Amino acid sequence: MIPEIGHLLLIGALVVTFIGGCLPIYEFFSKKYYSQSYVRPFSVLTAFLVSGSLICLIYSFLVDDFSVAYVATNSNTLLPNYYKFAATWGAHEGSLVLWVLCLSLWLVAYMFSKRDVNDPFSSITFAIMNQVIFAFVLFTLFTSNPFERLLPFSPLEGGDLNPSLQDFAFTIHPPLLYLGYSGLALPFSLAIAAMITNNIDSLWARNARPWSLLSCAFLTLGIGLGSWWAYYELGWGGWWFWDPVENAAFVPWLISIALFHSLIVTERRGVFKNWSLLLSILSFAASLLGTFLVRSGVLTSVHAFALDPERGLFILGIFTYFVFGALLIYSLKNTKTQSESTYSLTSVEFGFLLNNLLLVVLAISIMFGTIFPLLYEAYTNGDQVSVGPPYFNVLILPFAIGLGFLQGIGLFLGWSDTKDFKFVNRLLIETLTMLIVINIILYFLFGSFNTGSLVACLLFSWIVSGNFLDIVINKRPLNKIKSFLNFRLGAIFAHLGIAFLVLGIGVVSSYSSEKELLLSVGESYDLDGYVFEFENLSSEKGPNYIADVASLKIQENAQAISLSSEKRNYLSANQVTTEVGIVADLFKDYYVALGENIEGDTWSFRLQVKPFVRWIWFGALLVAIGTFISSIKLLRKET
Amino acid sequence: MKKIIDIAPLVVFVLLVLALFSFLQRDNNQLNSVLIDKNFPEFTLTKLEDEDIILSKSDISHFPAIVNVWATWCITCRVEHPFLLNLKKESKIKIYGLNYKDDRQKALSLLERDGNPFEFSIYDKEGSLAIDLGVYGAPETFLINSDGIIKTRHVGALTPEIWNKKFVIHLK
Amino acid sequence: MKSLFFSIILAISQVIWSVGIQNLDVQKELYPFDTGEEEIRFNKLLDDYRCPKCQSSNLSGSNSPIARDLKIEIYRLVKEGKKDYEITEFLTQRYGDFILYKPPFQPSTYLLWIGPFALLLIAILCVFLVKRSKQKKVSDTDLRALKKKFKSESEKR
Repeated sequence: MIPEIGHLLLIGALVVTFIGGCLPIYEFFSKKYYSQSYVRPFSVLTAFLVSGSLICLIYSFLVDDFSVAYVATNSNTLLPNYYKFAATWGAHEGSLVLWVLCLSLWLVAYMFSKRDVNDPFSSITFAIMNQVIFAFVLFTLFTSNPFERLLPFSPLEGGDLNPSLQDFAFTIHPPLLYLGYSGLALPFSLAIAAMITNNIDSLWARNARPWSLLSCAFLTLGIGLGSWWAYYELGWGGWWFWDPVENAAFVPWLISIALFHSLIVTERRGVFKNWSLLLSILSFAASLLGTFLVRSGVLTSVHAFALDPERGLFILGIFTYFVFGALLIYSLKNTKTQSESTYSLTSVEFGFLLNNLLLVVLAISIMFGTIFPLLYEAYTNGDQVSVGPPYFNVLILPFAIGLGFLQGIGLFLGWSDTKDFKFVNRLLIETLTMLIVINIILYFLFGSFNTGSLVACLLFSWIVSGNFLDIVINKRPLNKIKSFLNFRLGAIFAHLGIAFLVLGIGVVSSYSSEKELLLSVGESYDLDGYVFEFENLSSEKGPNYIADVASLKIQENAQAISLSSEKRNYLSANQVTTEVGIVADLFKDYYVALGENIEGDTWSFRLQVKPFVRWIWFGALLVAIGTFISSIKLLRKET
Repeated sequence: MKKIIDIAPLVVFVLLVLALFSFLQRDNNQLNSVLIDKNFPEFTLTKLEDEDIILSKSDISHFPAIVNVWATWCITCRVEHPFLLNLKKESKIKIYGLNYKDDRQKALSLLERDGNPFEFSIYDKEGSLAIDLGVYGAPETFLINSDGIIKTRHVGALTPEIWNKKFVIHLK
Repeated sequence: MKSLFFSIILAISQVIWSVGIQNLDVQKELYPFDTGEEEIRFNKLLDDYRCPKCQSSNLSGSNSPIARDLKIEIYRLVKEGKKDYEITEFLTQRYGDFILYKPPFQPSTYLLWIGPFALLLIAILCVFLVKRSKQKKVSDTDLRALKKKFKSESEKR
């Protein structure tokens, strides 16, 4: 019964969003304004219908209703309840319902964020958002219905949730990521509304900015969480692999950053209108493209949702409809709204322009690199090639340097022109000082000096100087510092976050230690001054697995640290996973992965020491906090 | 100039969609062999059926032939086995086996129990010949035409459809 | 500040401590090398080659049988003193360019390697050109305004 209700609720949402997607458009073009007061109730209704549907699905998981095919494939009676809950979005069909829910929540948020939504601009925004929701609900119902039944013979036991997904980080990673992906539909809809109602102005830019910031914030959290999860779950100590699915999230993230920076300029100076419109369209297009790549089966990947060219075709259709439609409107829009405000090469406008360019070209290049193997195979009629970390790491470096440079001087540039260049000397001195200090600290912490991390340290010093140090040193008195910081708090947090992220990446790439070896119980190994001792091997039973647990002790000078790593055998699917042992302090992670039992009590191990790796996610968290702060501030000022 | 800037994104987009559409039509989900149009590699390994006999490339002498990579631990190979037995009966093509990283006794028992479609099997315990062939799993099948040149490689179980689509054309 | 100071002390004492530790028998290593440089090279190679069977993984991050076999093979080649490009050639002769995570730099991949930077240069060029034409338009309008003003003033007299 419940699954059928869930199904019906989705159909209800289909109907409501169909009406919502058409009615305002009709009203606008026929100039017949009925009561626009339906936009708020409709949004709430859609959100209720979709959440009701998701609740029905969650319920089916929690009661082990294996007559529902989706539950049977992805759950198991032995699965702990909190994982049954999360298994709802563990595979393609259920994750779509989550996607649609995120879209509806954004719609409600927007409709209630403004005091007054009784204008064409808001109702067109409402309409486009409804069309997006409609498209995805249609896709779900027609090709990916999670409520399909396995009657009359339903299994007594389910497949299982993939063991590597049975993890806390995994339960919150998709919701955060989807909020980010779907959130970009809002600036997209706002841009279309602006073009159709011919209101491409500062007001539109002001309206759109908080939502692009929020989407970016959620994407940052989602990506950061995904990276952290990969680090402790996959067992080889890496935290980014330029996997197609990772790139599918990274590209919209980059474009959303370009977007909200560009919107600042449009809001303040009335220029960059084309840029802001295009970026609004491009960011959502990237989000849809990512969805296509991940769910259509064209690219193999560690965690692509497998599948089905038929579904791929449907998503391609959705992608084409929205992006082609938006670009068509863009090419037809009224171009007389261009204002001629001029700015010099040393102005903050030009800085933002370079920022836009670097981010967009980088995003396009990453996307191109991701689909290149497919293009190559088609073009050469069968030759295959791979594009992986060695390529992308080389690609991103010059862009990171350029963007880092801009981040350092951004707060010093003036609108239209910069007259005072005294900051340059100060910045250089502060940067150099910081650079030396950092390297001394690194030398003391890790016993060596590595040139590999020099660029990262330089960028870190430059960005921190320009966004924090110089302000604190140079601007007096204290209340002036406070007001400056307060005005740009979000930006400062975000830029500092990038600085820490970059430093973490640079240091962990150059200062890590690693060894793969065999140890018997009782033996030790000295890895660059850290002594690892294999103390004991024991057996443990979990709720749905049996594990071999290796306990180790690490000696660092006088301190002894314990950690353990396990090999788990999940009974239902007979899958073996490795649980990595990680112990972290402020400056480094100890990372141990248990390997195979070679013979007797000898096991293979992979021992690693990873300096500064946590700073990567700490940086990501700061970026998220910064973007949240900026968006909340903007939203507060509206109501 | 203005109009070009406005239309350009649209044009690029259409090209992108066409490319993505073509990707959906793609039928290939295996690694293409780079040994196509090359000779079978040299090797020195024992015969599965008799560990005192050393085989080399010259022992694969009757062409056209297929070389089938198989093992007792490979479940899909069991699915493929009847097809190979049938192929031996119905066709003049020689079937050579490459026993991949297997236990000799277990392999021999399996052939005894399920039938042996192979002229003989090469016992590749370490997988060295397999690496030289670019093998990455089992089952895999290589077709060598009447001139002794490798013409195609299939990853996965052979079926009549795949045989007709991928292999027959090289047997003219 | 305190934790920084503490960490520095810790680091110094660690350097002193590690001098006294005996290292264990090198035979226990899965892939023993004579020189550290060989080991670093070996590990880097494993990072840059793709596991042919896995959906998306390099050799160092994969436990599949073929990945293990290839690791052993590469280990043998490094011990024999083969250079990086020779090992790459060995692998691509058998598995094709697919096994390389760093695509080869050749005419068919020029677009990939040079494309992004070419695109960036073209984009910057466009920006300058557009700015120049805008500048020119503004100065033209200024000129016209100036001419008009001059004309109206001369007519006044």
